[in-house]
Amino acid sequence: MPAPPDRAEDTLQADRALVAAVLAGAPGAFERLVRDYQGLCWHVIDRMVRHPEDTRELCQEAFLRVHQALHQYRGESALKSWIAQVAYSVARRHLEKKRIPIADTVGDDDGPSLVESVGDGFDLEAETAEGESVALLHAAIERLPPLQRTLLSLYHLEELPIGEISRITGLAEGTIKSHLFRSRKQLRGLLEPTLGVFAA
Amino acid sequence: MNTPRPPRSTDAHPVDERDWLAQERALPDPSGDRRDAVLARALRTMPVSRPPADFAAEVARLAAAGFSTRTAFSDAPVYGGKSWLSVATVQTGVRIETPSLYDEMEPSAARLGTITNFFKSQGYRTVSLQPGNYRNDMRFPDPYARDRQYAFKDLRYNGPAYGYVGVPDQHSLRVFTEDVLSQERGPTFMFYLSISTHHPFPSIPFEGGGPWPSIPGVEAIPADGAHRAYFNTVEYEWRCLLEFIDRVADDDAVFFIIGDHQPLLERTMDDVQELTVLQSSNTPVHVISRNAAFLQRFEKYGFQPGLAPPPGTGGLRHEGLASLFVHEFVGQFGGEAQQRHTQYYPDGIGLGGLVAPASRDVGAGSERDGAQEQQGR
Repeated sequence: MPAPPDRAEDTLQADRALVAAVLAGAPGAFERLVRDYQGLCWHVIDRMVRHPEDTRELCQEAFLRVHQALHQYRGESALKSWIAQVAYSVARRHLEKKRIPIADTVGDDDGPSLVESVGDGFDLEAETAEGESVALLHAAIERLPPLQRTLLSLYHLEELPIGEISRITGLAEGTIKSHLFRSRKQLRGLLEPTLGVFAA
Repeated sequence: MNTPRPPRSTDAHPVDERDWLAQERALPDPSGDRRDAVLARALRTMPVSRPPADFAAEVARLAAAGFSTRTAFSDAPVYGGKSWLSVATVQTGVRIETPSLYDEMEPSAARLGTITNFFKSQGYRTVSLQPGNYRNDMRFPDPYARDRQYAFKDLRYNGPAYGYVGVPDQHSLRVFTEDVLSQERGPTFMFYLSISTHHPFPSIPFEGGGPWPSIPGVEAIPADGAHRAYFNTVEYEWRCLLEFIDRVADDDAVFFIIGDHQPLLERTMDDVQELTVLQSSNTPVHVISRNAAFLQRFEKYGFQPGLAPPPGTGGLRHEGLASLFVHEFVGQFGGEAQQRHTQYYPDGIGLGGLVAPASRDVGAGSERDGAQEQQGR
């Protein structure tokens, strides 16, 4: 849920003050900025690239870009979104350079079967306990294309509204909803062989 | 980076809003289908990794040590060759497009309002490195040098010969750093003309250094041929410059890097007309510094962060660069009162800038007497 207006304005004021402190060279200010937003930045990049060493380097690169361009931050939107936008852009370029597709094409039904891709190591008929089903879904999320798993993270873990995710990724809101809808439908489909009997 | 972008729609078959809302309502509904409840739990509990405890401190240290850049493009007076005319244009603030005009300028260059003379007038030691100056009768013995100059014969190079003059820029910069810069104690202005990107675009091995990042877009350049050879010389030159910056720069160092001209495009008789249209006289201009406020000053002229902004960024002219640089340098490090004595001349200062005063030091972009003000300033 978006922050209420008063809280949002407080956040913006705090963001502007922090940015001003960094630009003025206040000791420790940039380190504080990194500490405040490193979780989100790391999260976005990790979801995209799924490689610990690359995540660390790219996260560093993202914050150095933020540091270099901080004077361009106008304080009109949350610093959190702005930094997430930089992180997403750094990760996307990294994947493009490595020629790793970031998304399945939206619209062609549900894409490749996740059951096939996560089947190894899971006996779907035997795994009926809920905790194991959750683990199955986590494994399936890992195998989603980078964009889809990142969108799931931003929406469900970071609890960012669709509009903010649109600003971060540069994707239209409808496209984001399509990705989320189809990813969740695919994931839910994995549960039918096991939990479906209980749901009936 | 703070500019809103129009969102990209890649959705050929958008989800029906009713389906979307139905899925949204089902996920958090505890009384609904158990599969939805399990999915909701899985989405809420996705495992996440966290940055290491020292991450923020490490990034802050890197940021504090790092340089930043601003880049724009500038219109050089020449393309494909005659680099000394471009150098003279930058130094004097007068667009010098012909050898005859250069010949008129050269004898009095030491007394003109060049950028080197500006720093000399401010108490800087002025030193110059020109590895391409390898013969006494060469067209460009450094007419701008004041205190100390190094040319080919001073560089003691005995290795394999590369390209136009033989000596690689990495060697020249290392020798100059050791022989000259390490001896300087006060404020120093260095004027350096690199040579390793000169035609015929030699392949020079870079000595030492770690891995070099792959430059985006390089795959589009054919692996063989002049374009790749030219690209490789530019990459080599950046490695030399970054090594040099890393070795000599203190917190106050400022670097102003200017392309003298574009290389001549390869052409055949069939494509000569098309390539003449494509031939550009735009070259990149980079300002490199640790001082964010100084760099920010250049943004009002169109400079952008990084080394490779979109084509056309800036739209500057080489004859305006010295006054621009001096104006903002003085504004940042001398204060507003001092800056009022300087001015930016986007189109240079006209031919009057080639008339040398009888005496006293002069400076690029600095306030002149009334007579000179009327000569194009």
